[in-house]
Amino acid sequence: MIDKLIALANASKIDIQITSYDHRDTTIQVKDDQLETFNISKRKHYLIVAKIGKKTVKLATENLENPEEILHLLQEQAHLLDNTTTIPFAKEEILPIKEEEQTVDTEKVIHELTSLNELKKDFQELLSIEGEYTHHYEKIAIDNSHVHLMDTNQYGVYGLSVTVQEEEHMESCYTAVSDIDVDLKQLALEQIHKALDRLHFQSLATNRYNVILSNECVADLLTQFAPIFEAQLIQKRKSVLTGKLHEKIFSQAFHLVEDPLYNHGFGKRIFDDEGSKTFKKEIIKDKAFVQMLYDNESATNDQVQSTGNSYGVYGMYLEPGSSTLEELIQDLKDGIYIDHLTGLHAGTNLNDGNISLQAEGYYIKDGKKDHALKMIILSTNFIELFSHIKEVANDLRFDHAKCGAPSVSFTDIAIAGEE
Amino acid sequence: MTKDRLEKWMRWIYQKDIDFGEIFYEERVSTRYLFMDEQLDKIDTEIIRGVGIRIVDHDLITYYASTNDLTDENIKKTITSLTSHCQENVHQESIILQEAIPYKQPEGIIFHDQMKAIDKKKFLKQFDQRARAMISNLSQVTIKLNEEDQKIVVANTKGVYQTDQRMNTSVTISLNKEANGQRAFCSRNFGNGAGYELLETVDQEKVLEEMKQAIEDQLVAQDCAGGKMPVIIGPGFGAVIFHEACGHAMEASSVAKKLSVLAGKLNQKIASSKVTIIDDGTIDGAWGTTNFDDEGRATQKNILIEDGILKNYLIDEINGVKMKMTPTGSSRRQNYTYPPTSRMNNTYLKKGNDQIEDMIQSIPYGLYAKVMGGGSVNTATGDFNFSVNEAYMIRDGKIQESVKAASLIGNTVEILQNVEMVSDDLKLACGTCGAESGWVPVTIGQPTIKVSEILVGGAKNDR
Repeated sequence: MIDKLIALANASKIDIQITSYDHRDTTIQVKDDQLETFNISKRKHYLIVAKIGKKTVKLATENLENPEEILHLLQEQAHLLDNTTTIPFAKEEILPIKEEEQTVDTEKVIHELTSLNELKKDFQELLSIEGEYTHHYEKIAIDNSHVHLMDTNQYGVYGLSVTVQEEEHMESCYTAVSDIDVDLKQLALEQIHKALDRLHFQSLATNRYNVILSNECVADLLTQFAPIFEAQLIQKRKSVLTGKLHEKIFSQAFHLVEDPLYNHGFGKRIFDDEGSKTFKKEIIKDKAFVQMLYDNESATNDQVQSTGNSYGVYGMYLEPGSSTLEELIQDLKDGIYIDHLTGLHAGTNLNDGNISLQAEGYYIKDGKKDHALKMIILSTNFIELFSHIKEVANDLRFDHAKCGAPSVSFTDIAIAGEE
Repeated sequence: MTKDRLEKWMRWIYQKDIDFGEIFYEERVSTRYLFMDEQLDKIDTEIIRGVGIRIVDHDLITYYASTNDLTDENIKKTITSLTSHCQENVHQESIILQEAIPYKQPEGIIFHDQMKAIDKKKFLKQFDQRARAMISNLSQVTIKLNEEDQKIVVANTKGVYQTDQRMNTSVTISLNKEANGQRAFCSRNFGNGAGYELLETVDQEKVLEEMKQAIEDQLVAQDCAGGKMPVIIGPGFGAVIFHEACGHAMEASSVAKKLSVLAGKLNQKIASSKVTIIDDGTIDGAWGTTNFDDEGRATQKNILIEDGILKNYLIDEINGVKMKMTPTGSSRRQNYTYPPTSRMNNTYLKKGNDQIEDMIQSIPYGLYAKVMGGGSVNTATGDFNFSVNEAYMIRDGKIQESVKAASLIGNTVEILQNVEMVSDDLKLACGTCGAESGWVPVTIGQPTIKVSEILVGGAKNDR
């Protein structure tokens, strides 16, 4: 089908490139001691990019059965479009990393997750424990008149959600990890203790505090703000970093790197969705934003080469420091440790960098966790936050494919509370 | 997808010893026209076609598979892998699928293919030019026109066979402006569950006048004050407070597991007497309307909270069995790759009779939240958050300076009781809601309300 579409396009003097995705996912969800859902997905889809005259047009489809109709649609779009940026297609052969699809041992996973229900014997407040395992396998291929590229990627992710109850008051905590050898019982215990602490939470007075954000929270913020580094957004003047390239606006310790070839638990990407080779790059270094992330279109606009970021970022991380999280907490003396942020899709703004997020964590007194905090709001700005770094911990962690981070200690950050 | 073919696939399912089996077939074409940098910058078209097969066994465990390989060979293999633990050849007879209630083409609709692409582009260009003419020195104008056509067929082992056709159309305009080192952003969204007659309802001049004021106010906005305070929430999208505070907690997906703060509270007073919440999937041409839900059941008007008393939940087929309650036509999914579950359609707060002027005058120190953004909720704890995109401080009963965007957070149990005043300016707005079964279009609506106390996430304490 792919060859037929390329041949048909070439016959009409249309240069065409097809990116094919072949996904297979298995998800197992367990509640307490019982399997709740077993979900499998097998799906192929295609992104077709065509150069017609001076126009570049795109179409995403799940089937190539009617190539004539696809070409007709692309031609109609080209006729209508004003944008005349002509982007290059993949030319360079890239050696694939071939990985066989691993099979999921369903029975073993169900047993591992349901056996966590035993923890109810030790914690009478434990109302429910829900576990999830997802295995993702993906084959990506890129075809045009010059090259055929192929890559595979797979990973497994565990998710755990615990709910505790004391009289009518419920609290719940959730976490996810990509380490398939993770000690699930230990992970569940951490969440249970956190949820139990939350049953007796306090708020605090609106003020500025010294704050530590956990590695999960920093990674969540970096994931949410990752598009601000993309040239597409900057060129359209819709990123808070528009006009700020090479300005020294961040703390020295904010050393941000993107490395799609780094083995961070979610596999590697050797080329992006346009077939551009990926590589390690420093995005923020020596206090400045030094490298925009380019896909082919934005690179053409700036007359540079693509940085292999047509999918955004993959494996972006903040370089870890040398101290442990415990040392950061001891060093904080009095302040706030935040280990959960909620509502990132609504409480962040890429245009002005503002952050206003529901937060949970602990009040730190004399370098130790004193009591649980809830009903507080982290009220800051991306540039302000990362220009107030005191120290970066050594606990780099990736919770998802895009971004990872260690815990970070910040000075003088506004937190809103009930008082 | 023919009925014969579905019947054949259903036969393969029905032979097994299962409690419930379902096939959901979907075709969808969506196109987004993006106007930016004073030109038609991009056209993104997506075409999907696939099936979701759901098996529920006698322990009410759900086995779900989605695929877009529609060969008989693959479908048979998929059904076999989902039912490998079930006894074979239980039913020798074929399943008899009922006749579908025919699709009734709505009147007065401009279907997506009835409007020429060049006219869609013309609309975008005119809107862009008008924005740039009315508001000086904009750094960017972005206008998106989205159209989506979906055809579904659903059949199940209870004999249900139903088809449906759905259309959604929306326009989003966003403006960026920079001045004196400040960056302002303002966005407005209009949508319907119908066609391009939508464009005639958008009063461009009125919309742009309002956006002009909002963007100028943002450029001089000060830090928002933080802490608990009374808040007036504007009409329309302001209803995100109810969507998050109680809408999700009334979905059977969390209630059946008893992991909702509203589980077990039917017929109890959970909100102020001013609160009556309705979810109605039948409102003509509304953004969240469908004729049938994704299990083939006709949508309906559901009164969820009446005068503060919890009257019903939003219930899908399987959670209905678990809860021993009747489904409410509320089963939805983003597409065939998701198993369906109970979701909201068009949810709104019934109008009251309080006056907005009285609300403002009653507040010595508080916030006027004029335009809201999105939010989220933990249904077990009832903790929820939502963002305010355009806001003003209220001091001594008067609306004062504009303040920067902020999040508002609260807890279901507390906030529903805190709804102190409800006006009569009910408006509906369209949004996209993400949950267990993916992203679906939902309408939310409310008149202006006053909440006596809610935590505002500002950066300063100036009381």
